[in-house]
Amino acid sequence: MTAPPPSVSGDDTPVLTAEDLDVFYGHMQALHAVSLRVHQNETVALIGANGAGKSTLLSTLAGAKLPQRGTVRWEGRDVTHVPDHRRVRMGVSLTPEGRRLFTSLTVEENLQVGGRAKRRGDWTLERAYEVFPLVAKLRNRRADALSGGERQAVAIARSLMSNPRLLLLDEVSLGLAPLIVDQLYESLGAVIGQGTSLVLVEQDLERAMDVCDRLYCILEGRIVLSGTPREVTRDEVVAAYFGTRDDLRAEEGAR
Amino acid sequence: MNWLQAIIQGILVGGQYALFAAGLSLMFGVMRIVNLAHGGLAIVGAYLCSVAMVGLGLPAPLAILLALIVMGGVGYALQRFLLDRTMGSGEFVTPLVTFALAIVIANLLFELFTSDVRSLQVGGLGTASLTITGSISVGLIAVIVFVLAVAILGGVQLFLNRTSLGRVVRATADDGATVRLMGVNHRVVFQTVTAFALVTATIAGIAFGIQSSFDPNTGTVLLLFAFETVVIGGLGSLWGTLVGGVVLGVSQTLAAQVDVQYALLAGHLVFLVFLFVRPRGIFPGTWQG
Repeated sequence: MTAPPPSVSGDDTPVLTAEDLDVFYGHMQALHAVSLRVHQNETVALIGANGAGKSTLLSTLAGAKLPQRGTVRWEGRDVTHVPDHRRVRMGVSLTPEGRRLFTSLTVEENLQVGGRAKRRGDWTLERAYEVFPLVAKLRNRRADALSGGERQAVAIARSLMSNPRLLLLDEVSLGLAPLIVDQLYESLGAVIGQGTSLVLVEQDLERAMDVCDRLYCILEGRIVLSGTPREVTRDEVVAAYFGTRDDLRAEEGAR
Repeated sequence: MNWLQAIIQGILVGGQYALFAAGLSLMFGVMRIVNLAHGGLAIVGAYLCSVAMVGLGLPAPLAILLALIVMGGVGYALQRFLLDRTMGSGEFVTPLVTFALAIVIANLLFELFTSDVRSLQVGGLGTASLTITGSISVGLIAVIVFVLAVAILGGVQLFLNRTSLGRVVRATADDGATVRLMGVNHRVVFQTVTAFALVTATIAGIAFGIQSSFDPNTGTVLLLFAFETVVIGGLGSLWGTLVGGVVLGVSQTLAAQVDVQYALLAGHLVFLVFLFVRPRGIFPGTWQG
């Protein structure tokens, strides 16, 4: 037996697996038999157009949305029906779409509420301020007086305060100035590849392919492409994003 | 000197109103629930205390404690089995349900206790008075209620602003769905807040029952006073609630100096003036302080 090839993306037992998830909003099906796995220390990017189902998938992984079919396994255990507030305590933390800060609380109070799950780990107020200098400057500001980029930084820091083993990051850079996005990713450097697994939704394709170990492309609620950034080409990803993949294949076949 | 006495009495009555309004304000602040059964539930607390004292023969402190515990449980159950289910069904459902509840409560009380007026006899406490100067004296129970109101409103404000659990309650008020992502079950927070709100309502109901008399319909009047208190003070500000109660109380007792029958009317008029001139109350903004 040859040993499995050492992978940059961490060890081989996934911390999280999702199998055949069907998720509905009323009668509308948002996800169709979606399967996905995340390994320890791995950074996974979800790529897809608006309304493709990325946020729904993250919500389902976090337990905020229940799938009609399929299972979610966390560290080998079936957690499909474990609600979100208990999944945080198990180590799954979601930074939701729209950042959703507690607007009447100060930045520091937001972080303190983020630490309610009381999981052990090295994320404390001090560490958060060290890693996110932007947040440190705002600690006594009310959260409703922040810019979009500041909100996102606080939201990510707040999620990390629960010392997650898996961080689910929705729309990291949506609506933010490039300079701010650079700063955010610089801060995320303290998380990426440092033992915590990450699933991130990123509209900026270059950025996503640069930062991730593996990626999944979602189109209309289905996973249409997955692999490492080396295995897939940028054209394939763009085609999967716009839903023109079959056309591409046809062209390739014709050549 | 009569006018000074009237003002002091008005301030003390204001404490009673603030005590009624505290739970109403808290439930609105945290859950955006307008609880139209708040007055009725306060009176249920007073009836419970009365039954425990007269029916079961318990001493007053024990009867009060029993009523508080039972009503706390009622609050928990009310939130868990009724209000939690109505909250997601559109903004008009919950007020309608609590309105219906208020009617059911009044009719149940009527069935059980008839429309006879009763009051709570707590030894000499109901009639004991404190003499401040030669010509000014106030009821001991009114002073106790006022001090209780200040302590409860101040305590809640301190709890919300200074403690880690209070922070969680404020965060839940801001965004209940997101607080779940921090490992907090927002429904448990809601149930606790409603339980506490009914405990304060019961304290107010019992205090009212000792100082005055009540019947199955008293809840409606009390709800009106609580509402006026909250609106005058500013929706959601706990200290504002105290000030609102005092404004309402003083306007009633001052008008009563002219003619007793103007007392309630004056209170309502002051309330209307505030609605026109300062619709967001004396202390607008959030109850988070």
